[in-house]
Amino acid sequence: MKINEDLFLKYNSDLLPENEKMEFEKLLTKNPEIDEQFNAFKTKLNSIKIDGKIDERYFNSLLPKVREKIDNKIKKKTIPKLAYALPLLVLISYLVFNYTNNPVPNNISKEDNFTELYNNVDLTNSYLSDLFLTESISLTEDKLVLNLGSDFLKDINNLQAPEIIIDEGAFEENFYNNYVNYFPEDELNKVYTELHSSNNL
Amino acid sequence: MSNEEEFELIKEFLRGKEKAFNKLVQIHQKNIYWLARRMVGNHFDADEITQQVIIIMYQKLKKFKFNSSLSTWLYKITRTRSLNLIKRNKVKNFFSLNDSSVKQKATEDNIFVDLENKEKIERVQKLLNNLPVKQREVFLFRNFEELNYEEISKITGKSIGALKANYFHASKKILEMMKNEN
Repeated sequence: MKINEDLFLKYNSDLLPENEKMEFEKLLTKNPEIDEQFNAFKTKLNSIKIDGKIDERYFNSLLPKVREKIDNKIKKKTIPKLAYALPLLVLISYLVFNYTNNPVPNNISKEDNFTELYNNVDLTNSYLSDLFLTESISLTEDKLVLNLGSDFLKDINNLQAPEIIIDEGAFEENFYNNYVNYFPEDELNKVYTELHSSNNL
Repeated sequence: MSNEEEFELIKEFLRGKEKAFNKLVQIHQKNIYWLARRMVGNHFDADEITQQVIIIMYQKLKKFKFNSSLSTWLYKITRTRSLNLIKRNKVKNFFSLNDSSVKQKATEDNIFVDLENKEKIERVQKLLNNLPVKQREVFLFRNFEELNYEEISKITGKSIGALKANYFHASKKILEMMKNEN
């Protein structure tokens, strides 16, 4: 075994194979000179390990500095959360308020809608009387709105009536044929009777 | 302080006792600082890393698994942060024309206890700075923190064989540099 610094380095780094390691350890116990050389090597290598000292005030000020940074981080995290939460809260409040004050009607049947429409009709001066009792109707869409009142076309749409072709000539036939189907027989009779009596037809 | 006592302090902190955290910082702050300082080579960067590690410790201690000692966990964070900073500084120095070391030097001069101490620290730092980072870290953990290869392997994630080889080369270089000093 060659005794040199490389051997010391290998032993110190735990790089020697087990048999060489045991052999070297035997040498150290038997040969004081080698033991001394090895100790000198270790002392030299460890001389780099100095206990550095710096101002203790630095370490004393470290924790308050870090505490301040941690607090700032927590604040920074909280503000963006609020920035999102507040407008969201306003929006939700608005929607809830709007919904509770203007509930959306549902389950309105065609029949309900028609009954409502029918009840609102002033039979003495109504467009229905014009519609059913005029001998011939020839209208364009503009004229229809003008003649029947602006809401009538909307009412027709609400009733989801079958396709109405607003066309001169064809209108009368389509409208009458399709619309009369919506009227139950007894209601038609009732309307007719009332109209008859009010207009002395 | 034993691991059990430290674990008790961690549990106290997790239960909301801020004083327990302060105590943990007081125990570990010097080790964190000196490891960072020897890794990065100056007080300015070491201070930044130490603060970062303490902040991480505050935020992530709830994820600590109690499998290893707190110091191993902190060494791991300090090492990662130091390596990141070394890489960042290399890129910064490559592109930067300004010399920021003047400001760093001024900060550094204020924290030494005395001139003799300053010279000692600067000499050691100069030797360490000449080691490649891989060798430097294993040399620091072995020589300064007195950790065994298994512990170093846990911190660095490197094989024990690679660590031994790096330590061998680091020691050899340090001795050569010391000879050249004389």
